[in-house]
Amino acid sequence: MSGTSIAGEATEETLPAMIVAAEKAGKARRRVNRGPRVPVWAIVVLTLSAVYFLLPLYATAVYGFSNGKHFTLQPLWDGLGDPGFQTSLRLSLFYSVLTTLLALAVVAPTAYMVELRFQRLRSTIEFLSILPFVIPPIILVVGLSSMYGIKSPVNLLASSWAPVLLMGGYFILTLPFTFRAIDNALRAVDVRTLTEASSSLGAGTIRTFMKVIVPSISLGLVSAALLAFTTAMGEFTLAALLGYPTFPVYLLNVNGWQPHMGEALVLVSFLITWAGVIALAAVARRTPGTQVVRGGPM
Amino acid sequence: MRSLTARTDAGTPAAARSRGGRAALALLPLAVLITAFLLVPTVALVWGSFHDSKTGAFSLANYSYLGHPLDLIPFRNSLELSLASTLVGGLVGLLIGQAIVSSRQPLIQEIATTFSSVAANFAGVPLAYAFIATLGNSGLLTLFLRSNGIDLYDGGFKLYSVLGLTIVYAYWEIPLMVLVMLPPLQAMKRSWREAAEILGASRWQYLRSVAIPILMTPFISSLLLLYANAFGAYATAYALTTGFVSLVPIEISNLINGDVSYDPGQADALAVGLAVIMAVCIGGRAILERRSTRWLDR
Repeated sequence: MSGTSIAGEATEETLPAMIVAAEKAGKARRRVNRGPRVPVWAIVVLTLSAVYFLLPLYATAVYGFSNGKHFTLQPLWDGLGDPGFQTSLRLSLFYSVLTTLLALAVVAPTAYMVELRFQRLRSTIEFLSILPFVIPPIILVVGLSSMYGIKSPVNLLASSWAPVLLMGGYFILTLPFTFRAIDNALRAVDVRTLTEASSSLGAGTIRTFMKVIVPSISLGLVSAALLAFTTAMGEFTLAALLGYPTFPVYLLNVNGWQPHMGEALVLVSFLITWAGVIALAAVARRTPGTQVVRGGPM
Repeated sequence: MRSLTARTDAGTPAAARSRGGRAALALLPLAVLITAFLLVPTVALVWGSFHDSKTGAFSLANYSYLGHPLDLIPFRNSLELSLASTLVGGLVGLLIGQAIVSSRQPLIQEIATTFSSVAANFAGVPLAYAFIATLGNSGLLTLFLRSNGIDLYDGGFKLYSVLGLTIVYAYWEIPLMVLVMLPPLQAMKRSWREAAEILGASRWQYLRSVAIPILMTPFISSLLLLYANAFGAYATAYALTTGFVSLVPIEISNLINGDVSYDPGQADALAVGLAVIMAVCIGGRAILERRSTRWLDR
């Protein structure tokens, strides 16, 4: 390092140079400290876990891109062109989009009102966030089917209200996450002051909400939407047990008779989850405190 | 409600009341959805569990499983599976979390956190098929080991067994553990360790007297989360075993969906049993969280 070459006496001329050299050395030392001094055990642990986590993805790709003998993309094209896949994906998209819109339309105004006026309801609402654990999908589906199922007096399932049943179920499943995402965003801005300022300028509650609150919590709304959408896209339990042939349900059936095509479609399903979660992580990086994992049994 | 609005609004009582009424109106859609799709089904479920599904008369017969060792097999299997996957997920997750923190590489932390979020969301049918492609009878790893003289299936291994399910459940339990333990692990200050070293503590003494007492509460609390998560999971287990391994969620689904075993009353009673177990885990977690050590507050 050049710092050692000017270790002689300090004159007025050499002083600035010494300072520069010392700074350089300091920077270099800091860089060395920050550098690759990962403990060996940490490297071993991280490498082994990478193998465990990547191997199933690799194996899926090997099966999905093969006809049993050699590499081919044919199963993927077969899968994407399969009418059953297209119908089930369309159904999943239908429910996911509607659930997302319903969640945004209902949760955002409610969370705003709770924050603004009904602080006392906060503890009740917080309680909601543990509900998916106490009432996971497998329990909710029993309740829904005994209340609205085929054998029930209120047989929604066999009526034209059937879509509402699954949407309602998905709304409940995603509620804790959508509520928390929007509530976090609301708490990060001063809702009370914004509202007072807006109403002192003559705006009504609805106008204030649409023009002032919604734009200031847009990232929270985006992450709520992504959470609702990815949850509904991947949901299996309610759909399968109430009898809606969505994409995950189709995925289960198709694997039974066309394994290669099935594995190719599993990759498609992974890509959908992947896109959702990575988008969520990108939003979360800009808004600390955002939940990236849905949590709760599936 | 009137007193609440009177506190926040300085208008006339009548104006405040009407505004408060309109504000409460904004809560109505959420209240309706929660009532219709959560409260009413839950009440129906509990009611159904105490009534004979054929005659409608009050009966405790649905809970007879509590007194029959044979009927408790699904609970025993679920208990075993959840315990195993919680221990594996908890210990490996802790190890990976510490490896991530010890690496002190922002890039590794970033990649590991994002990947953990993705992996913790991989569950259900796609995950089951990824593992069938890896460890199934003709999975990639199975074939590879077989060609090297190790036959897993001759050795008694089955993917659709409690052991196999544990390996699959670990795929989301480990990253979940990483995500919930990273904040407390990152909150452990280097200066604590340095202080202990200066005072002459060995590595083991530091662990025993400083690190373990501080991390014990979040660790146990995370284990409870993992346990509940495994106990209530249905989609992965069903896709992997097509209902052949007797677990509580699978028995419930057979009882509401099966042709032979259709018995909604028993399904209700099993669901109540499952909800009690989940509530104990999550309640325990809430208690622990409340007295989480102040050392970790940043």
